[in-house]
Amino acid sequence: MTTATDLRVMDGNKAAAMGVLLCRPDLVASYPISPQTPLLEALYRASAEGRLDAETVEVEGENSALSAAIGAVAAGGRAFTATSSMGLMFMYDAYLFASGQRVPVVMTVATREQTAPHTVSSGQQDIMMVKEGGWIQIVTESCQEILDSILVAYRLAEDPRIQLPVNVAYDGYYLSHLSEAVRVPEQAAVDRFLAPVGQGKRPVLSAAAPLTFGAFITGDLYTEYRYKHCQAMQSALDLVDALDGEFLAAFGREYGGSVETYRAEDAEILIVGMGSHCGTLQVAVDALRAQGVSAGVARLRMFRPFPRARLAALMRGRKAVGVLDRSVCFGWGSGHLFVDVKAAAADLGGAIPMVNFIGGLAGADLRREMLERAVRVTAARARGDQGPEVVWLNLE
Amino acid sequence: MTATLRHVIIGAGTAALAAVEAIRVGRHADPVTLISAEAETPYSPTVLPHLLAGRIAESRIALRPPAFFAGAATRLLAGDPVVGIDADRRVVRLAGGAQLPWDRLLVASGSEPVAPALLNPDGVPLYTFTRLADLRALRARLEGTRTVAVLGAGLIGMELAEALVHRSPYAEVTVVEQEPQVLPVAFSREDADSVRDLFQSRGVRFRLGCRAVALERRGAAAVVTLSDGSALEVDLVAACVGVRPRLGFLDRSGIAARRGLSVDRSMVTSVPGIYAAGDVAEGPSADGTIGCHAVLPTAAGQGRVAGANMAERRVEHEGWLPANVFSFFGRLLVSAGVTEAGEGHARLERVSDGRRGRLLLDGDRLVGASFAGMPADPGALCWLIRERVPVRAHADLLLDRPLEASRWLAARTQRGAA
Amino acid sequence: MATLTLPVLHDTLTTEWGACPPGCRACVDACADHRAVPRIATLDLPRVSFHGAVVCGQCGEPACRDACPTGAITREETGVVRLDEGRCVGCGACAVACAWGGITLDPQSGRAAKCDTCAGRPACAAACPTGTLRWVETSGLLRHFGHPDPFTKGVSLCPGCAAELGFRMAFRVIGPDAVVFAAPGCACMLACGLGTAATTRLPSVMSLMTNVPSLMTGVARQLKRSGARTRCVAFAGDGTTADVGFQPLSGAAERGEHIVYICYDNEGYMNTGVQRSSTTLQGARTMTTPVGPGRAGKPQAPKDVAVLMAMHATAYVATASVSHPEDFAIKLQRALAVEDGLAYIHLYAPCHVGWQAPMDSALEIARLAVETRVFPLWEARRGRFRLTHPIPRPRPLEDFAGLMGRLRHLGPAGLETLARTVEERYRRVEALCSALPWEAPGADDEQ
Repeated sequence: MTTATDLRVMDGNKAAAMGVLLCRPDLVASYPISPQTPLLEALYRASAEGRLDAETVEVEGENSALSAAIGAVAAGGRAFTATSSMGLMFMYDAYLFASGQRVPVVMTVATREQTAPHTVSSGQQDIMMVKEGGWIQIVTESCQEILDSILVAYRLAEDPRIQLPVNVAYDGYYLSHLSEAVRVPEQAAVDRFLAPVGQGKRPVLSAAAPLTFGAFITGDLYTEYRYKHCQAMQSALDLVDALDGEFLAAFGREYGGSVETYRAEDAEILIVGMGSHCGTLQVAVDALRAQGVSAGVARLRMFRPFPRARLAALMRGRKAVGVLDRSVCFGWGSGHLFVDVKAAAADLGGAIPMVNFIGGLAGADLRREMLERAVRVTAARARGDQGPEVVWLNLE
Repeated sequence: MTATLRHVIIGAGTAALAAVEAIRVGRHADPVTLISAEAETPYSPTVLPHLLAGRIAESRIALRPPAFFAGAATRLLAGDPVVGIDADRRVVRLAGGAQLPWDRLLVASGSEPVAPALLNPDGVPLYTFTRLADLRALRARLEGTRTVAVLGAGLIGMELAEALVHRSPYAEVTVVEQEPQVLPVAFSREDADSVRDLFQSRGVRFRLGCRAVALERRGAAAVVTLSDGSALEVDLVAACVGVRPRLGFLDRSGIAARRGLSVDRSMVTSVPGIYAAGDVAEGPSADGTIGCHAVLPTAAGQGRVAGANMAERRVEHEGWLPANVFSFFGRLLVSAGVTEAGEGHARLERVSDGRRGRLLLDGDRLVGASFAGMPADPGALCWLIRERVPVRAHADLLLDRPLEASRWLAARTQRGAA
Repeated sequence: MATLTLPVLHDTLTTEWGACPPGCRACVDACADHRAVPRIATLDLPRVSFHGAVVCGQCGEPACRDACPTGAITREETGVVRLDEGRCVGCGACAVACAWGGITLDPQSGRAAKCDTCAGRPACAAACPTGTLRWVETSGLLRHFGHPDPFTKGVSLCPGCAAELGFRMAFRVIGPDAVVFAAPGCACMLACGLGTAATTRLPSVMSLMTNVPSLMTGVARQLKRSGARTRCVAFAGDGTTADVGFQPLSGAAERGEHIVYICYDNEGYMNTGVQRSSTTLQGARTMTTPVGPGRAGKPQAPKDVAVLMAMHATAYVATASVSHPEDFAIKLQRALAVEDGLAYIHLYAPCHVGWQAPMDSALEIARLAVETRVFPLWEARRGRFRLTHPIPRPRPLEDFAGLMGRLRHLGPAGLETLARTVEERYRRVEALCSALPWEAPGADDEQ
C-alpha cells in the first residue's frame, strides 16, 4: 500500500530526530558528544519551536542522560536519549540497570570508534563494547532506515512481551552526517503504528499503586529474572520480523526484519556485514557478479539478539562466508561479528570456510575496490585457497 | 504500665482535682471516683468571701466544668460523706451505705473550722465560713444586719471583714484578734499594720491583743465579752479563729495522724496505697519541718504529687513553703518564706512612698521576702527560697525591682545558667 | 500491637534568653495595645547587663490551673493555658504557684492576667524587632509526623541505627504521596524490598549509587507531566552523595530539578564494613584510615557537601540531625514546600557500629555533634544562609570525641587539629550567614 509521505533531504542525525519526533516522547535527555550532537540539537530546536512536547533535560553526563530517561519510562513515559562512543561507556552502569530492570527506553548510537588512542572518527567498536548489556541492538544502513527503525524500536521496546531497551545504531559521520532523501511518514500513520504500545500498558511508579522498582533479590529469583530476560530477547527476533511486515503495510517499506539480503538467493559465497558500508558491499558484489563471482550480501539489522537461526539458514550450502567487521574483538584477534557468525555457522554441522575482514576503523576508508578484494578473497577461500583467517583491509 | 487501677479520692477540692489531673497524664482509662461530703459542684472555700462581696457569681466558681465528670472514667459522688475507711479490705464506706473498693485512695477532705473557746450559755449562733452552706446561712442572716463581730483576723476573718464592708458601706464590722496584729504568721507586723490601717480607713474596727471569752444573747443582738473586760454588742458573730484537718471519719482507720495525716514527700500515708494531700496532710515543708499548710498552691502541689504516685509515676513533693498574696483596697501584699527574722538572719528593708520591701537572708540565700505596695512575683520569690539561690549580691536590685530581679534570678537557675 | 502515640506538641512563644536590646519594650507595648494589663514583661536590668523578656510557657501540667480556686484557668486542646478573667477573684494563688513568671498580678485590681497567645497570632512576637521573641509553630510537627510509618518492621539494619530512625522520621513527615529513592547502602534496606516482599508501602526505586538524582529527574518530570503531585524523595548515604554520586546531584541542583534529596551522613561506607568517605571526620579511624605507627586515622577534613550544594544557589539546602527531629521536620516541610527547584537536606546520622560506640548512643552522639559545633545546623535559600541552632557556647570537643572509639586514639595534637577544623567549618557557615541576609520564608510555607 502507499502512504502519503513527505520526501525530504536530510542527514542521519536529522532523520533520527524526525523519527523521535514522530514517536512523541515525553522526555529527551541529552549530553553532547560527536557525532550524535546534531540529533539532540535538532530535538531542542523542535522543542523551542513547539514541534516537540517533551521534557528536555540537559544533563551533566551520559550516565545521567540515560538515567533520566529510565526514570521517565519507569514513571510511565516514553523517553529518548542518544550517545556515541565514550558517552556510551560512561553510561554503562545505567545501561545495565535499564535492561536488567526491563525499562523500554530507546537510545540511538551514532557509532564511533573507542578511545584510546584518541579519535572521534567512525567505527562500530562502541556498540560492540555493550553488546552483552542485555539491550536489543538494531544497526541501520541508511538515513531512511534510521528514521524507520526508531518507530520499530519503540514498538519493540514497549511490547509487553519484550519490555527491553533498544539501541538504534547508525554509523557516525557515514550516516550521521550523510544527506539523503528520506520519506517522512505522516504523524497519524505513526500514531496508528505505535498505538498497540504506550502509556497505561505496563506497570509504572505511582503513589496510587506502589511498586518496588529495583528490588534486592538473590538466587532463584535472580535466575528467573535472567531466564525471562533471555526469553524476551529471543522473542524480539520473531517480533522484529513480524513488525517488518506490519511496517511494510503501514509505510510501504521493508527491511527484512533481523537480516536483509542482497543477491543472496543463488550466491555461492556470502558476505556478512552490518551498517552503512553494506551499500558499498552491494556495489562490490554487483561488480564481481559481472565478473562471474556468485556473491551475495547478508546484512544484519539486528545484532542483539543475534539472529542465529536465520543467519545459519542463510549460510547453509554456501561455499564460503566472509564477514566484514568495523570493530575488533581483542580476545579472538578478529572482529566481533565474525565470532558470532562463526558460532552460528557451527549450527550447520559442516565446516564452511570463513574469513574475516577488519576495516574502516576510526574512519579509515573502506573503498569499493577494498570490498571487491574482500569478495574475491572470500571466493578464493571457497575454492580452497589458504590464507589468514583475519584480513586487515586497511593494513594491506 | 500495670493494669487498670481504681482510684478513690475523698474530697473534690483543689488537692483532689490536681490529683485527678496528674493521674490522667498517663492513665486515661483508670476509673477515678471523687467523693464530696457536700452536694455541690466542686468549689474552693477560698471563693466564699468573694461570693459574699458579690465579686463573683456562684454560677462561675465551679473548679471544673460538668464535662470533666461526665466521662466514663471520672465520677463524682456528691453529698454522700465518707464515714469510714477499711484499710485492710481496701474499701471506703459512705453514709448512704455504699462501699467503694479502691486500689489507690487519696484523702483530700480539707479543713473544718475550729470552734472558739468561749462561754456561750445562750447558744448564740456562731457563724463559720468554710462551706457554701455557711455562706448561705450567713447571707440569709445578714439581711437587716448592721453590726458584725468577726472573731479572728487571719486570712479568712480579714477576707470576711473586707467582704462585709465591700457588700455594704453601712456595715459596722469589728475584728477581734488575740495576737497584736492582723494576719499573724502570714505577714510581718509592719505589713499587717499597714493592712489594718487600710481596713480602718474603710471603717473596720479592730480589737487586737484580746479574744472573745463569752457570748450572751441580748434581744435580737449578741454581746461579746472580750478578754480585756470590754464588751461588744453586735447583730451577728462570725467565728474565723482557725481551721483544722477534717479527719473525723478516719477514726480506727489505722492511718497515722498527728494534727493531720502524716505523709512523706510522695504524699503516701503510713498505709501503703493511701495518700493524703491538701489541708488534711501533715507533710514536710521546703526546709524539712513537718506541718499542715492549708493554702491553695500547697494543696495543688501536694495533690499533683499524690496523683502522680497513685498513677505509679515516682514524684516527690518539693515541700510546702509559706507564701501569701493579699490584695484588697488596691494594695498588693506579697510574702514568701518566713515573715520574721530568725537567729542569724540578716534583715534588709526599704521603705518609701508607702512601698515596703523586705528581705530576710541566711548568709547568701533568701529565707523570706515581702513586698507591699509594689509589683512582686511570689512564685519567683518562692523559687529563690526553695532552690536556695544565692541572692545576696543582688539584694539591692531585689529591693529596688523585686518583680524583674526575682524573675531574672529564678530564670537563671531554671535555665541552668546560674 | 501497641500503637505509638506521639507526644502532643503545641505552638509556643519562645524567647532567646537575655538577648533583648536594652530598653526595648516593643513586646510589652504590642501586648498593651490589645490588653489592659500586658501579659508579657521585660526584664530590663542594666545594672546586671541583663535584658530579656518573660512570658507564660503554657505548661503541660499547669500549676496555676491546679491552684486556682474558681476554675478560671483551664488548659485547652491547643495547649493554651487560658485565664478567664471574669472568674478571677484576685486571690494570687496562681502567682504563688507559678515560678516561671507566667502570671502578672495587676497591682491595682490584684487580679491576675496571663498570656493566651492571642489565639496563635501573638502581637508581641510580631512586634519583636530582633526575633528574640518568636512564635514557634510546633503543633505543625505533630501534624507532619502524623503520617504512618510506611516501612516494614524487622528490616536487616543494626539495632540502634540512626539512619533508619531518620528515614522513618522523614516519611512520617512526608507522607504517602511520594516515591522514595534509595541507593546501595545501609538504609536502602528500608526501600528496596527483599525478594518478592516489599519493605515499604511507598513506591520505591532502588537506583545505582551513580544516578539517584538523574533517575529522580526522569521520574519527577514524568509524574509532573502526568499531573501527579507525587514528590520524589531520595534517602541516600554519604558515599553515594558526596563521592561517586556527587556529579549527578550537582547537575540536578544546577538544573533545579523538583526533587528532595536527603543525604544521611554516617561518615563512611558502613554497609561495606566501615571505609572512609569524603565526609568522614578528620582523624577518624576506619578500615581504610587505620591507626598505626605511620597513620592516625583520616588525615583530611570532611567535605562539606551541604555547603557545596548551597553554592549551586539551590532552592533550599539544610543540615539536620537525627537528634533534632523538630528542626529536621521543619526543614523537611520547607524542602517539600519548594516549588521551583531542588531541596537538599544533609542529615547527620551517626553509625554506632562504625564509630565504635554503644548501641544506644547514636542520638547522644548526634546531639553532642551539634552542641560542640562538629555539625552545625543551618539552612539556606538560594545561597542565603542562616544558622537554625546557633551554638554560642560550644561544649568541649572532648565530650563528643569521648563518646566513640573511632576518635579515641586522638591525643591532644589530634584533637587540636580536629578542633580547628570544626571551628573553621562553623565560622565558615557563620560567614556565609552574614554574606547575604536570610530571607524569611513566606507565611504560607511556614506552617
